[in-house]
Amino acid sequence: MADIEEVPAAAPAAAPGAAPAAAPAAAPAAAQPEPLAVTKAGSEDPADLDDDIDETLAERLIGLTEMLPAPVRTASGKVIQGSVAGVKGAYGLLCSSSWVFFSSAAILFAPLIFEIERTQMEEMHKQQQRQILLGPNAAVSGSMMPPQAAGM
Amino acid sequence: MASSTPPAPAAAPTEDKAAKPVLENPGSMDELHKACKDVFPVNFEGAKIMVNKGLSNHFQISHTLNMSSVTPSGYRFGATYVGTKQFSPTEAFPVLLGDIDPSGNLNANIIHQFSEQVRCKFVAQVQNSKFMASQFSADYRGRDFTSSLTMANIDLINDTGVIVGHYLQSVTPRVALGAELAYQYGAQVPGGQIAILSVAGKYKAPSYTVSGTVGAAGAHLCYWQKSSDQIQFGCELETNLRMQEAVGSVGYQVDLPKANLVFRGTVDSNWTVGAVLEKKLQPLPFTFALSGMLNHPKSQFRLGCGLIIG
Repeated sequence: MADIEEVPAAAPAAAPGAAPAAAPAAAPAAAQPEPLAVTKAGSEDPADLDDDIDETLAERLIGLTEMLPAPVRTASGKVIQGSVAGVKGAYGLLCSSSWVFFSSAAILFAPLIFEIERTQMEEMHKQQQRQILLGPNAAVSGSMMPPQAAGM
Repeated sequence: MASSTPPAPAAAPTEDKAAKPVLENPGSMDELHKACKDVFPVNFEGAKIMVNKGLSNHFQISHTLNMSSVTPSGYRFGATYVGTKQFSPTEAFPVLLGDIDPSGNLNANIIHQFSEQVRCKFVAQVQNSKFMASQFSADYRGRDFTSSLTMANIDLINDTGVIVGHYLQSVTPRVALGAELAYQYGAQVPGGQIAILSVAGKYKAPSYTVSGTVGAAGAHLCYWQKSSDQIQFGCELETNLRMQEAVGSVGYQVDLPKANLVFRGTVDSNWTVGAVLEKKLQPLPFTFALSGMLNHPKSQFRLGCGLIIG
């Protein structure tokens, strides 16, 4: 009989004990439906929350240009365009000047140089032939045969 | 000592000789720029085959086949007759040159030297049964001067013609000065007649020659230099006042007898590059000619090759 009375006494004792325990548990549970307010540390103004949600990636990048002042922006734009045009122009100039140089050399100098080389090679070949045929002395004095013959 | 008087009369004749150097004939006005012009290549286009045959000491004929897309292709027959009157080992007169093609277009030259001093030349060109051009010129070569008279395209029916007179005088052994007077008359000439005077000069040094012609029509200056046995340079400037344009060109000629080769090249101020290579293909009497000309601004290339047999 005492147990039954103790239990109901304990139960109401536990109930008020549970109520205050439930109250603080209910307080954080009541706080959870508003998570964004917790992430923005130190700011409790709800008006800032709208800007972040509406910006796209492109707008964010364009916004980055506002980092530099306008003269710097225009100057760097001109420098880059100028250097691109300069590189294209230099490449075109290089192409046409090497074409002019090589085609003119092919017309003015190539046949002459080929013929001179051919003549020299023929001369060398003839000297070698003479050397094989008549001995090493003949090749040395290719054009001076009479004096050497007289000297001998 | 009586040595003061004898040397004086002996010195006088030698001083006289030193004061009056021997002046040579300066050549004719046509040959004024010849040395320089010979250095420049004559570019041609297409294929050319020429067969030369000497029928006797005096007579020579040639057959030429021209195949090209720029100039009309065709066959030409040429004949050369050299006469019996000889003034020097290399020159014999009269000389008759002609070439004709199957449709009757004829080019004829007759050159005759009447005496040591007087030489006459007649050139005629007939196309489509009409005298397109005819020119008669006579040269008188004096001891130290040359004068010549040329009459071109004299048309007695329409009363038109061109008469040109030249005079070139050797002033010092190296310098020759001269003048040219060109007179044109006819109905088409504004005012009925027009005369143009130009002066010419030539300075001839042992290894180079400078020659120039300056007149109302423009100036023509040439410089020729022989740098060695093998290589010669020529530089030419032509200005035309009527057309307000000037062209400068540099040319060179390389002779390699060992390689049987003559190579001529030129570069122009019009950004034109041209060259001609002539090679004798021994042991047969063949000469091979190769010509190339590239015009850079128009991006135009002309190639020609020719074979001369005989």
